[in-house]
Amino acid sequence: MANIQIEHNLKFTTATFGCFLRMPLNKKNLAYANILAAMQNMASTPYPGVSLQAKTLEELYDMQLTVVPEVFGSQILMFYVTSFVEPREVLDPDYNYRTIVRTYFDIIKNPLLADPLLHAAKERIIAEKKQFLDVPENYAYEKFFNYWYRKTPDWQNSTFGDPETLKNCSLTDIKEFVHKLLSCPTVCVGIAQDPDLLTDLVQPELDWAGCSAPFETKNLSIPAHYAPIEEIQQKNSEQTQLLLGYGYDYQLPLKIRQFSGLVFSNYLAGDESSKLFVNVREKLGAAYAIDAANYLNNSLFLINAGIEKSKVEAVKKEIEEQVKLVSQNKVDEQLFKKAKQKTKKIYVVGQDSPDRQILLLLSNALKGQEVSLKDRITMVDKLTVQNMVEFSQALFLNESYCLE
Amino acid sequence: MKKLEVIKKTFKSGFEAQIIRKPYFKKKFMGIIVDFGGSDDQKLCGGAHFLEHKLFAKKDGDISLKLDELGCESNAFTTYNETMFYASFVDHWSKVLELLFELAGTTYFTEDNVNKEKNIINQELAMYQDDPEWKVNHSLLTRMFPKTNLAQDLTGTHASIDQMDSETLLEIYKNHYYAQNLSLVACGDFSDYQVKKMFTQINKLQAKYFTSQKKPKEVIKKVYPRKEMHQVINDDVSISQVGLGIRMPEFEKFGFSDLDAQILLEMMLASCFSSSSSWFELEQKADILHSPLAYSVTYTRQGNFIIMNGVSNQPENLLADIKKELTNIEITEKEFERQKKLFLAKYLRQLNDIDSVAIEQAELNLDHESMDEVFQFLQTLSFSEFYLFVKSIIRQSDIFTTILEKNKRDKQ
Repeated sequence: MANIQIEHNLKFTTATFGCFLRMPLNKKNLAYANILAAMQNMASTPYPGVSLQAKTLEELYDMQLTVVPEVFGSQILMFYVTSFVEPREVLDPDYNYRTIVRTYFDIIKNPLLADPLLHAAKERIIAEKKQFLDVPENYAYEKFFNYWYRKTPDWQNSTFGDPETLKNCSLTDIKEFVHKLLSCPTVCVGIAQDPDLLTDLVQPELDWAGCSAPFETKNLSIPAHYAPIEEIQQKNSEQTQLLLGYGYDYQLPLKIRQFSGLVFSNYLAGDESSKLFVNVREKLGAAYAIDAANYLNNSLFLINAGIEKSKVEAVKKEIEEQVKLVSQNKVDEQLFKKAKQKTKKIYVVGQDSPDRQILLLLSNALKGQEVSLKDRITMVDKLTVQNMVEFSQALFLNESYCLE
Repeated sequence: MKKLEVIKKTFKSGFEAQIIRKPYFKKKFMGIIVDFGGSDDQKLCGGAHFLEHKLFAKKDGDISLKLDELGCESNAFTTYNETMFYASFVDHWSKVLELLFELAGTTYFTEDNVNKEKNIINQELAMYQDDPEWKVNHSLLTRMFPKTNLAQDLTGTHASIDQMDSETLLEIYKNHYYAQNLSLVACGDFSDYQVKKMFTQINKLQAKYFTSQKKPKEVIKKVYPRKEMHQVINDDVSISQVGLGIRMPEFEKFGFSDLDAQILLEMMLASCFSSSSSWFELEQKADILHSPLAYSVTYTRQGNFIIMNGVSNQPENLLADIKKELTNIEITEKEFERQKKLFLAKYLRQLNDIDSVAIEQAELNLDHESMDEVFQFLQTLSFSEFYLFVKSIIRQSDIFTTILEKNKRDKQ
C-alpha cells in the first residue's frame, strides 16, 4: 500500500498535492537534485520543449508544477508539488482531476534525459546562483552555514549543492541519480475538494519502489557541536550583515527545543514589542529589521540583521545581552505572554494557507507522528516562562559572522 | 465561478468603506488606504513614506503595541500613489477597527521622534540599495522620469530623509489625510450582524477622526525623459544584470482605463517573454538567457512604465533581442485566449489569500474599478482591439536600458 493522505479542502479555490521523495543530505545529492529539478521544471519526454511543457500547464488554468529539493536537517526532500484551480470553480467539461493527475504523472515520471536539457538546467542554476549570491543578505547566509558546517562539508552549500558537481555533472550521473531516486522513501499528501476521487486517481500511479518504503525517519536533526568561530568578511555594501548562531543539544525534549525555541524567537524578534525590535531598531536606530529563527533540524538558533556599519559592536552586545538576561531568569513576563500569543496565531492562521497545510501533513509523515494544529496550539499554551529560560540556558554562541 | 461578496458604503463625508466576506477563513484583515503615495507631489521626496512610519507614534507610545496586545499584527506600506495602514488578526475586530482609525487619524510628531526615525529609514533605504536589481531599476527610472519623485526611491534619498522635520510631516498629513481621500477595507469571516455593527462603528469613527475637504485637482507637470537611453554601471556583481524600461503615454489616449491597459500589457509581456514563449526557448538555446525575465507594468499619476529584469552573460545581445521582440510583437488569437484563461486562474488563486484580496479590493476602489467590470471588459474585447493597442502603445513609447556589469578590475 502506498503512502498517501489527501485531506478535505473546504475553502480554497485551488487544490494541492505532491509527492515527496526523501534521501540523505550530502552536497553531491543536493547538486544532482537541483539539476534534475531544473530539468523536470522545463521539459519531459511527453513535452520535450520548455515552451511546450509550460503551455500545456497554462492550458490547464495555469496548473503550477514545482519540482524543488528542500533540505530538512539531515535529509533532502525532493518536492513534486502541483497546485491547480479546483475544477468546480471553472466548470469546464475538459478540465477535471483526471486530466490534472495524468499531466502531473506524465511529467514527473518521464524525465527527459537529454544533453541539451542538462546543459540548459546547469546554466540556469549557475546563473540563478550568481544572482542569488550577489545579494549581500543571501551571500552572508550561505557563508554563515558553510562556516557552521565547516567540519562536516557534506552539509555545506545547502542551497545549491556542491559547485563542482553542478559544473561537471554528466547525463550518466543524472540517469544514475534518477534510478536511485526511485527507491527513495516517498509520500504523497494533498488537500482537495474531493479527496476520495483524487486519492483513487493518484494511488495507482504510485508504483515505484519508494512508494511502499517507510517514509518516517528518526534521524532528522543534525547535532550542533561546540566549536565557536568568529568570521568577518568584506563586501562593498551599504549595510553590514550580522549573523549570530547559537547551537543547542538536539536531544533536548521536543517541548523545549521546538516550542520554547519558537516562542523565544518571537520574544526576541517577533514584532514591534519584541526585545530586539525595540532595542536594536527603535532605541539604537541600527537596523530596519531584525530576525530570530529556530532551525530545529539544525539545532541552531539564528539571529540576524542588516545593520548600520558603525553600530555592529553595539548590536552584537545587545543581542548577547538579551539572550543572557533570559538565561538568568530575567524575563519580561508580559512579553512572554505576547510571544506565546503570536506563536499560537501563526498556527491558527496557518489553516488559511494551503501550503502550510501541506507542510503540516508532510512534517507528520516525516516524523511518523499525528500532531494536529490543535495539539501544537495546546503545547504552546502549556509553556511556562521556565521552559523558555531552559531553552535559552541550553544555547551556546557558536558562530558570529559579519559581512561588512 | 463564485463571486466575491463585497458590501460597500459611502458616508456623508465622502469616506468609503467596504467589507469582503470570506467564509471559513480564520484570519481577518482591516486596512485604511490613502489616495496619496511616494510619487505624488510633496514638499520632500520620501515624505509619504516617512509619514507612514511616523503615524504609528502617538502621545502615549507606539500604537502598534496596543494592536499587539490584541494579538494583531499591524503594518503599513507606501506605493507610488497609495499609502495603506493595516492589521491582520483573529479576534477583537471592533477594538482593532478603533485603533486603526486612531492610527491614521491622529498625529504626534516631535523633533526627537522624527530624528530617531531618520536612522531607521536610512537603514531601510540602505537595505534596498544593497540589492543589485534596485540599482538597475533606479538607473531606468531616473532617466525615464527625471526630476520627479518617480526618479527616487519611495523612501526618498538619504539627503531628503535627513532634512525631514515635524512641520513638513504635518503639512503633508493635512494635505492628504481627509475623508474623501481615504477608505477602509475589511476582509474575513464576518456574520451579517457583525457587518451591520461594523458599518455603524465605521460611520462614528470616520466622523470623529476625519474632516471633509474638497479634493484638489492635481496638476501633473509635463516631464521629458532624458536623452541618455542606455547606461552601463560597473558593480560588484558576478553576473550582469539587465534592465529595460518602457516609458509609455497615457492609457486614456487609447480609450482604456489604467487597470484594463495594465492587464492587456501584462498579457502581451507573458505571451512574448514568459517561459511558454518561443522567444524564451530560442534565447535559452542561444545561451543568452537561462531563466525567464521578470516584468511589471505600473501606472501612476506621474507616468506609466514597464520594467523588465534579467541576468545574462551576454547582456548586450539580450537587450537587443528584447527590443527586437518588442518592435515586432507577434501574438496569435489562440495565445490571447490562453492569456484570458491565465488571468482567470490568477484571480481565483488570489482569492485564497485574505491580505491580497483585501489590498486588491482597496486599490480597485481607489480607481473606481471592480473585478466584475474587468471580466466583462475581457469578455467583450476582441483580439484585434487587443493587438492594435499593444502594438501601437509600444510604438509610441520610449525604451531605456541599463546593464549592471561586473567591475572591470574583477574581470582581469
